[in-house]
Amino acid sequence: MTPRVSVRGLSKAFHRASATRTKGISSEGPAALKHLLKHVARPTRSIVSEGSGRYLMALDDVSFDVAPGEVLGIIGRNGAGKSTLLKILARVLYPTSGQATIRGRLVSMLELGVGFAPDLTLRQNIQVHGRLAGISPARIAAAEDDILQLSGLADYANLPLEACPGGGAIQLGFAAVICLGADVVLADEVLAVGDSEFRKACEDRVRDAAGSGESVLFVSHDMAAIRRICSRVIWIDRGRIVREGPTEDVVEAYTEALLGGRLLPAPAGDGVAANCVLLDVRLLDVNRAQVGALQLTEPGYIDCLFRVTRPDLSVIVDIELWNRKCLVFATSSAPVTAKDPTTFRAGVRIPEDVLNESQYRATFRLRATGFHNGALMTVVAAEEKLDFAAMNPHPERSVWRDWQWGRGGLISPRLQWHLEPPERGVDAAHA
Amino acid sequence: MQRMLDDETMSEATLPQDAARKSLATWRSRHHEASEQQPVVVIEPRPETFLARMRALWRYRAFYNFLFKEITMRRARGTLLGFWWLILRPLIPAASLIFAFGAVTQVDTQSKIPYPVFFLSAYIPFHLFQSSMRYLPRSLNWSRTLMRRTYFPRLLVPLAGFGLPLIEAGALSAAFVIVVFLTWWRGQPFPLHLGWQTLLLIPSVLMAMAFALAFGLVFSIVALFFRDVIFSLRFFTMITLLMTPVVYPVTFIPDAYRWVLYVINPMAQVVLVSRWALTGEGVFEPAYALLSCVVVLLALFAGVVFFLRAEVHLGDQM
Repeated sequence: MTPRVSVRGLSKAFHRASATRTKGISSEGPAALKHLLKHVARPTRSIVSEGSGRYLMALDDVSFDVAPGEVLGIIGRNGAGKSTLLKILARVLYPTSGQATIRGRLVSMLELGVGFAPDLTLRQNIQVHGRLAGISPARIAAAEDDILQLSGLADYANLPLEACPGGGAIQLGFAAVICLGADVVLADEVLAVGDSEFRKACEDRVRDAAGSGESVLFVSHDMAAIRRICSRVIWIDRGRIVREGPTEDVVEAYTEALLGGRLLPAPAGDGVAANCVLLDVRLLDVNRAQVGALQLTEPGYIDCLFRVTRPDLSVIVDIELWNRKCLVFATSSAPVTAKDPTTFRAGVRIPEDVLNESQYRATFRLRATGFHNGALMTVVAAEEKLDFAAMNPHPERSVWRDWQWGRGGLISPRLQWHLEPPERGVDAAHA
Repeated sequence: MQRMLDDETMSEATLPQDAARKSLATWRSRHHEASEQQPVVVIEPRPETFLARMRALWRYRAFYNFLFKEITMRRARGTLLGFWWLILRPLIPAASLIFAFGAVTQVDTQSKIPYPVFFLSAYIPFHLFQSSMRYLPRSLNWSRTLMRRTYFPRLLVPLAGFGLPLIEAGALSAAFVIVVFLTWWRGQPFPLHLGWQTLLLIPSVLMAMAFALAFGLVFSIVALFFRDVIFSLRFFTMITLLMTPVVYPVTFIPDAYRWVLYVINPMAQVVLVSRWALTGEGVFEPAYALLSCVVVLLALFAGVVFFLRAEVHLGDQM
């Protein structure tokens, strides 16, 4: 059978200026623009001629096939290149080299939570979605009511999306993909958002799709979900395929390698940074399972794995949580030392009902203190960032009755109100 | 008790989904025809040929319609006057320029037609240019979320930015018609000179749009890196206005230097042709018109090539 998706030697290199660029206005603007102008002036320029040091290989010579009816799981650490791969297949990014062939209509569920335009009504959003998927307006119109009904948002049909209950965008996107159909589905952390019922619906949907000959590429940090759904798994690290095969084998090998610290090359020399490495940064749910989004009504963990391979190092973990350009909190761990090479797990627990429905970025920093060339010094051994969404899939269960209309603010903690008649209150204070 | 009630309402709310889950296959098959021919997409580092990319524009025309409406309506949302802004925005500068140069300064137009008619007949295509220069460079920034997530020919975005300029130009045209009939009604001779040459208005307007598009394509990409570009463009269009015989007749510029003006500022020919086509004022010089036309087409070609080449790297910036 001809594969639905075949990928041959796919690579993607990001220019450093572009790769480190954060959203919005950036100080990297001049460098990134200069890089762009160079390529506009000479479109055939190869990146090798510029020196590979200025490039970050997000994907490096990746090849695989996906057969019709197959559910392919893609796993790997934060920043391993999984999302880059899906973005290339969705044609949002151009590859640097290699080729990918897609046979059939492709629907991408990338950034499902933020994909739809919040200021458009649900009907308009369905229209855009369908048109982008190349479906004729007549057929979109025919499917519109079914989509609204399936998503359970029929009452909100002519309201802007931002007025819908939390998670409305996801429900809608999901319903649209089901009703409009596709041959290839790209799903990036779809199951991470939403509650357990939604996850179950998604998993059913994926199985159903496989049965009817659709192919699914499924990226997730949730190993349990990968185990349940996928027939085959690819493990990507630093842009390369490390292992490919049956789900159990690959997931097993991946988890083992992650905890054993074998993902990185052996420490080069006795430098401080080389002996203190950050293996992975993760977001965990209340059951300590890795997820891609935080549910506000449950506690969660921001967590990292790091390995210390020199006995005289004293290591501190700093974690900062950012909401766009605002610092939500900054915290540091107690210093740790390791007699033998040890993998540590460090993280903070985020209590329920604290964060707001928004996009957050956690930054992790390892500060190692040790002797280097005879002098005691402290260096930043590693830095890593983790982007995640916090959402409230169950406004009904929330402590706030008004949740479904959204709440402002950087955080949204559970606060205790007191409300008394003024006289009594004043009297009581004086008494 | 309250909690229990909550749970009950919740299970009711999710009921349609429960029902749907059992028959996902039926939901799907209702609208999905399996027998459709399957498109084959090959993703490569080099984009497709120029022609293939132009054909892609046509394939996405339904999406273009949406984008056009969306970008046009976005400006009107969230303002007190809403849609009226689109009509007021071109009228206020037009009125103040007429007041400053027609009533206060009394520029010698060397013609018999009243100043408002003289001015507006040239200002309509110029405003189309000016307003396009205002909106096109912002268009890519407006559709960032969409571009982060899905594929469509990016060239559609700046092309969809023409909605607002066209509405503004339409408002100016309506004002122009009113001004013409007011002068006629007050007993003066009918100021327009309509005939076959009025058809030249069409190429004139198209040239104004093409010239704005040439700049818009380049600056929309630069504006992804520097927002400052958007603010500086206002001064650029102001200088262009001074360099274009809109408020003054072209005879203000010495004969010997006029060709220089036509080369560096094709808008000069655009407004002169428009004024001649409507009122018969001035002279139509086909050689100069052709020269400006060539300049505009060269600029447009450069702009399109720049955009198509940069498009390949746009995803990295999103």
